[in-house]
Amino acid sequence: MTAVQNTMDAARVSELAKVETRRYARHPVFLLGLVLGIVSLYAALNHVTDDYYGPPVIPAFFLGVFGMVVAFRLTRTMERSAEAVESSPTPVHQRVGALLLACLLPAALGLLAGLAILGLGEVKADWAYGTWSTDERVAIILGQSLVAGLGGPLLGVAAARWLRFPGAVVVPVIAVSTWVIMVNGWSATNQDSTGWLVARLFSPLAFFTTLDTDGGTHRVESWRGDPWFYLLWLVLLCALAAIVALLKGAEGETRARLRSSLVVAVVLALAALTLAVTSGPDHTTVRSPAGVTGI
Amino acid sequence: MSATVRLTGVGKKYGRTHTLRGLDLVLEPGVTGLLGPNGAGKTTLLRILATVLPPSEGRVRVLDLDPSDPRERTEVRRRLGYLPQELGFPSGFTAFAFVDYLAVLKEWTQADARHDEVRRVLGLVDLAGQSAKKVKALSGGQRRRLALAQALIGSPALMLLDEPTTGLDPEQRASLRGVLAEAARTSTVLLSTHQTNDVAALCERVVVLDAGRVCFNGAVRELLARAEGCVWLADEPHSSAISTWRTGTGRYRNLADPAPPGAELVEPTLEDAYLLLRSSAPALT
Repeated sequence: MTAVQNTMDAARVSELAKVETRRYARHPVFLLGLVLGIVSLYAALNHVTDDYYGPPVIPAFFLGVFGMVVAFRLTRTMERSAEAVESSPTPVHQRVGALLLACLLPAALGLLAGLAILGLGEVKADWAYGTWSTDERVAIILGQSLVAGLGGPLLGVAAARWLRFPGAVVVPVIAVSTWVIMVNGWSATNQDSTGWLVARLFSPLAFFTTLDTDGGTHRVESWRGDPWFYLLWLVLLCALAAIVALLKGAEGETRARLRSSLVVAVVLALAALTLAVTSGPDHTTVRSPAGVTGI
Repeated sequence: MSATVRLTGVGKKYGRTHTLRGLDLVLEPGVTGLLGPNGAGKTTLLRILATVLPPSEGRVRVLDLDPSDPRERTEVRRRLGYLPQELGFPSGFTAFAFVDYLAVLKEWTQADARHDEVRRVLGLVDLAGQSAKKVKALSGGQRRRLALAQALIGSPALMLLDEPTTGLDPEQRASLRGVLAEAARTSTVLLSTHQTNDVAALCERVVVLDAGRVCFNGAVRELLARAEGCVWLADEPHSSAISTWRTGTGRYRNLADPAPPGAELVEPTLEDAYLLLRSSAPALT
């Protein structure tokens, strides 16, 4: 491929991405999620709390889950003009690539939300952080804000490309929500089980702490797993969603390259998951105003 | 004159059903009408030429390129304008934004030049004043013209139009004819339609499909000549007429082959010629 062609392709994808980003920004579901998310986050950060790890769920839900719906709908609505679109010289992987780039909008908002939580979240005392260090807290919160804001919409695009039946938009929403709630809920009563640890970290949104009450006193349980390797696993899940979305309909050399990328991304993702499971604390610890103890 | 489209033995099958079979066709610059009953294979033919559907058999050359080769297919698409039979519109777009989006897909990456082109094609279809309107707020005829506008982007060398005049009022159709006639000065236009008067008004040549095969391919005047002497007025309907109806004067207009002696002959229309051709075509299965 010539340099001229590469420049032309980049210019075209860039223009399409601008259009898709504007469509994303104007989508009613996105706007609703944005308003609800801002209000909820403001309410959560506007007071001193014991629950430092609660607010990141807000961008994860309002940008990630709502974003799945938005991205799915944006991908699918262009298919109404499929014949005119397909007869254009722009190949399908460039059109999908532009949609994937539009997912940077919720990701950027997720980053802002994460920075707001990191910068503005006030706790009553240091024990509310659990046993996580400052940089580990950054990894936990960015995973639930920035990466959730990116990953949810990317999954929405991938689902729209592959699931061809009416109402398919609910499949990723229900599948992800159910998995996240189930494994995190059950992990709370099986903190040190390696099986539940794998199930929890396999999830696209994993908690690393829980706020508990012991005799009327709050305490924070810090669970097993390495937040930074878990963040890497999440980033690689995002890459997998993007590759899977691009793969549908790709032809020739592009398809071959995407398949190779998929294999590499799967291997790297599994390696990151393995490291997330095997690194970090090997048992749950409890931190309360009285100090740090095992469980 | 060089051929823009050359089909050799082209066929298309869906399961066991042949939609097109053994099609040999050459299209040259100018407007060619494509007529045929529902299910004759007109839309399938246009989709094959638009490179959105591969043929099951045969050889297709479009603009001297082979659409089965991905690189050549992209080159064909750069020089193609295609109006599908049913073009849906994504939600939330204005008329301008929709055509602008298609223009980006057609490699108009410079925003100023692209916006000028979008304004030009919207003007051609009389939608310049509606460009800021949401597509869902446009009437059926306006949406059809919007769909046509995207096919006009960049003055393509080959335009494939599937029933472009559906839903248009007489003024809009007349205006559209002007646009297509102008486009045909530099392009090859294939116009699939059920409106024989559009073909009569615009086309030099006409292709008639029936059951996936070409049953006529020639000049419009040649098809018209087949109906000479077959249309006449009488006080009574003719029992074996292909079509007959009572006109506003109270007399019956009969289409039959041949006219009885002494009948008052009238000028045949392309519709008469088409109906006569269809009635004489052997049953194709």
